[in-house]
Amino acid sequence: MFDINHAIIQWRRKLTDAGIDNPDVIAELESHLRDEIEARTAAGMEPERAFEFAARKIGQARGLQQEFARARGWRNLMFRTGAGAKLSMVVALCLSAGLGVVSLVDENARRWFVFGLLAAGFFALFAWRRSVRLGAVDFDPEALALSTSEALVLAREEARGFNHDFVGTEHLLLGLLGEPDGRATKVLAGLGVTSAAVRAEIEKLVGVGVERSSALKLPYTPRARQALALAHEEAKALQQHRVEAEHVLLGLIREPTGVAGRVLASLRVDPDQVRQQILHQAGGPAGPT
Amino acid sequence: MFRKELVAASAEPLVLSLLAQGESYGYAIIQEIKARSGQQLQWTEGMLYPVLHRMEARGWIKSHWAKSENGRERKYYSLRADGKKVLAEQHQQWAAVHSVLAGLRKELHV
Repeated sequence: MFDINHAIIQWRRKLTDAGIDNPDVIAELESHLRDEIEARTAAGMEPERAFEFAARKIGQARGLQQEFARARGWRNLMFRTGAGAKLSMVVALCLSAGLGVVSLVDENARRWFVFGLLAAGFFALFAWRRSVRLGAVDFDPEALALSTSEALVLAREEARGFNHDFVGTEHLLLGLLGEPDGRATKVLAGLGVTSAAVRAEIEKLVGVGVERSSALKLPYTPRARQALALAHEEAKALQQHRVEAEHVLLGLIREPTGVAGRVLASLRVDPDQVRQQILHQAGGPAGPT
Repeated sequence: MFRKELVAASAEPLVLSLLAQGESYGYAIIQEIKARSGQQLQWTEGMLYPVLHRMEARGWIKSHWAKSENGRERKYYSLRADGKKVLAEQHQQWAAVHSVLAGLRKELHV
């Protein structure tokens, strides 16, 4: 039986996960959600449908997310920038500093100094752009379809189940499979991939951790983040503005050296076949509504 | 369908004008604007709430929680003195844009 209060508690938790951590804002959005649900049910919609409709509408609140992402922006730039980006920035800065010192004694090196500065600038810009592109995944959860956010929650639970202290591509794969009616699940089931088989492969490849992580929020591995970034690209390429489970699957198979890629390979899944089947289905209706 | 830029630019004066008539809350504001525009302006939550929060941070509007007629708490927004000034200013600017536009249009049909 559908319990509206229970559903709203879950929904609130999801908002918090998405980075909206101001209780006042959450309360305001909940009041809005309840108004929307009341209006829909008054118009004859089933409570469950009304809830889904209202939650989805607020879920599209891109502006809200950005509002909060901005407040966190600094922290992300400092701590979330990829190691590669940091390294190239440091190298570029050292290079130009070194050239600067040499240029004090050598006439000829002055020209190189200018060149070095320019190169450092380009380097830094490139590194920054890249880190923004990679980092964007975490802060764009409102672009995810409802079922995809649910898959990500499941992925996190799977990671905890393995006592892993990160959410990797393998957990994302399990998260996708946790949605029995999802397109990704159907495509994978058609190719003989089940949750149980994937779990067994993960145990073989990665093993089970000894101790449960005490971290409140497990971080994504760089590859999992990359897979999610690729999922965004796939959704865009298919001209869909929501990232659905099948787009995440497309992102995962584009990372063949990730654990999910290796699991699928050892289950003899052909990435091209997965892609074909998803694209073949993409024209159809978007699953059960 | 209104252009995104126009929707964004007109949000502030519309909300301020609405609140000048009395306090209101997010959901009602969206419904009111929708009805008044003949369904042409369909604001999203993602558009409205950041605008409200921004105007509150600037001291143009203020908010308080109060129980509504159905017993639930709602966050009501109302205009402050600064907001009234901004509203007058924005009214004047929109009127200027409108008069130029209307003038040019008239000349076109002469």
